[in-house]
Amino acid sequence: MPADNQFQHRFSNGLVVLGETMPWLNTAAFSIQFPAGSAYQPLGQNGLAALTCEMSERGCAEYNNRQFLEATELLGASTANHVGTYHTGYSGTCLQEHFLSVLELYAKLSREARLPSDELEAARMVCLQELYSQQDDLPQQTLRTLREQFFGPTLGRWPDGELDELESVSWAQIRDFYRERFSPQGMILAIAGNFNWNECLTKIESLWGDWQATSALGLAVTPGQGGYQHLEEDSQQTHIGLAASTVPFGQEDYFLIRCAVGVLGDGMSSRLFQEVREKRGLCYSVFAGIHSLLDSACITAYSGTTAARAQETLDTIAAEFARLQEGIHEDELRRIKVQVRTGLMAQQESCRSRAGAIASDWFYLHRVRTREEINEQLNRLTVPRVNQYLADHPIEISSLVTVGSTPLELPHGVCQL
Amino acid sequence: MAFANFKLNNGLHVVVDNNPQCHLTAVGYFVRAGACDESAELSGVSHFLEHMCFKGTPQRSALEINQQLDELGANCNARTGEENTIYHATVLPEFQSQIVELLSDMMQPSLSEEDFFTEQKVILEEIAMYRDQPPYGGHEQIMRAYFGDHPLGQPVLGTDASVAALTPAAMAAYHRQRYSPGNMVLSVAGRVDVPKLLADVEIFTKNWPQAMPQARRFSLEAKAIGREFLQIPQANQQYILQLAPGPSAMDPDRYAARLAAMIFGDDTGSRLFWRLVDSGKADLAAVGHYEYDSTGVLMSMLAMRPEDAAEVWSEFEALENQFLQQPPTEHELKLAKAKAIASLSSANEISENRMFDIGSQWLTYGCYLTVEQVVELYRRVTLQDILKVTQRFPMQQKQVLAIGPDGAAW
Repeated sequence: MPADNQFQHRFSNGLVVLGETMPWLNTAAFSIQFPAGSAYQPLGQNGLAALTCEMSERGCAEYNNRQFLEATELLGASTANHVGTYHTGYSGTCLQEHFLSVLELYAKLSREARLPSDELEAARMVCLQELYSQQDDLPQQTLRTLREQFFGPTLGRWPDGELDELESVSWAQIRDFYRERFSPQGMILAIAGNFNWNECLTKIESLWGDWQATSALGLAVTPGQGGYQHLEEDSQQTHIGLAASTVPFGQEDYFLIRCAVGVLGDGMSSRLFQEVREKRGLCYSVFAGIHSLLDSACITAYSGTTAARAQETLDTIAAEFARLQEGIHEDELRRIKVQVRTGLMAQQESCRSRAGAIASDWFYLHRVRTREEINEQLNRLTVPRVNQYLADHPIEISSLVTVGSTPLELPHGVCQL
Repeated sequence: MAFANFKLNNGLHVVVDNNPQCHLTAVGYFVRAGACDESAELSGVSHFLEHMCFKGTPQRSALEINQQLDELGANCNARTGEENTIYHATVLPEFQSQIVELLSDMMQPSLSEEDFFTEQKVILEEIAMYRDQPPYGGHEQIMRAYFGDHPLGQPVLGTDASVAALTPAAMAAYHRQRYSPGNMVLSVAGRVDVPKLLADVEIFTKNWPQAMPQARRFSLEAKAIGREFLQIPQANQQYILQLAPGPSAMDPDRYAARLAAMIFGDDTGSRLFWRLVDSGKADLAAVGHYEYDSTGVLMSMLAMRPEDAAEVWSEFEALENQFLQQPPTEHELKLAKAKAIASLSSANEISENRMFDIGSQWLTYGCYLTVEQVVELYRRVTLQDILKVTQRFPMQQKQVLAIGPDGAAW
């Protein structure tokens, strides 16, 4: 059952609109998601989604590139775009009195982008610049390589693109991708903040209601291989990334493993932070989390440390992964529960993060969870349930990436599949 | 919303912005202690001390501090800058008393030898980490070059040598001097139980030792004018940093200066953006205005392919000159005001942002302006004000540092 302040509507063309009113705020936010993420690019064209997104913001309908940006800025809208595995998304926040006008601008962007061919090379350079700058970001290179290795060439592709593939994307490919993937079929529009639902829905119907859907393309997935990969870099630190397969968000057991991974590597009392940084002083940065896609997911961990201490760091992380199977303790679970509750309340102060969370829930779960539902789920989590799950499902580290001056020795049990 | 300020008997200032509609409570200790307060031998001590405040007190071990922070669900962190150190945490309102007690306890760390030497390794790792990250220590180098012997030229993290040479005794002496209640502000925003807060803080801080904080030494600025190149063979991009004088935190022209910097070099919609970023010539081209107690700087940062560096730099300098010859228009000023005002209004809704706002204002000015008052100050800026501030601070006397794989083209 949706809460009193939650709303949803599906138009006949497929568009799903989700709303959550937060009348204590003066602002409102939107998150628009189109099924135009990197996974839908033809193989060999990684960068098509990012370049299409960049081109989509270079003018639409009566606005040229500059007029569009200035129109949003004059309305005081703070906006962003994002290309992910499944979606290209646009988000924005503004004072409530300008909200409908900002939505109107984004309706034009999503339906009538000019995709100006004379700006293609500038747009391509913007995307290439992003990739060039990432070459100097070694933690990101580590996580990027890990992702590609674990999820494989369809889902694991880095959504910002691949240098040589981005260079060859043509204007016609961008036009076709925009026509096929920017469609009400599979589109999610989430709004949160201070607005009147009926008034907004009427406006949204006038903006997107008559838009005809194009037929959606399916997704053929090639899985990843795993293994150990070392990238040589003349750097002070060695960067370590590792991944182990787990259940994706949306499956019943997800919360059990999410909780265990929180104990392992989320927060300053987490086992990795305590064992690697606090007790041994091996590094500044160490953490673990879950990276979930629709049908697959992995537990990931990262640390960066000077070369001489990298082996000890990797060995300690691997040992903590192994020790997790022995179970977690009551006090650890209690801490994780409060962290989740605080995170939920933090969303109540930011309509932007709430709009993003609603859109994400819909995509992964086909519904929007209420705070009460999540709290109930938390209350049902017990140490015996988490520990039973951990005992029944051993965590096996199947992917390891290091970036630095020398490769490392594989600890026992790592990448042994 | 209700703002209130209090001064305890021990000299500690407490500022509160209570909004019962908020869902969280944000708490922060603001300490007037930063790199500019350090002698050369103590370089890095403020930042190292910030780490040590998490490493144990007479009441708690490091593990107990970390566990309790996580137990309170605290979104907690700390940061050290040139002039201040800030410790902050955001919690559910029901944990207000516990988090205030914990943060207050952390302000009086044990500084045990064992923890000191373990944490020293973490700091050295942090220094190594930043040396691997763009701009590869360039920020510290240009601050040192620009400010010379002025205290703002000191690196916040210190150096490998200065951190390795620090001792627990020297740190304890520094702590006694700077972490005196009269040198600190406690800032609390969001949903706040104010009477409980005041009663709590009185008790939690009553045994804090008092010291007369030493006045800050402000030597004359060197304001070096020159060019340097830092060669990083493994860098794939070239980075250019530039420092030029700007108004200080006390200067009434600072609102006009912030708007002028936005018009010239905001990361979207500015003159630099349209010429260099939207065209794909540079990955980054932006100017920020940084304000300190005694001075201010306009810091420009550019990033691009090394082979494009000369061209991008010459376009950047041409735009700087053009900014003086073709001053901002009404349209540009209107856009900059819309952005500045919208960003203030949205940030205002988050308890943590309110806590930072009132705490920083109180530490810097000893007074508080509401968001509406600050918005009004932006609204009142005229084209004449912008013209005046660009003539006062024309970005002509500048220190430049380029960082990249090869200096030949530079």
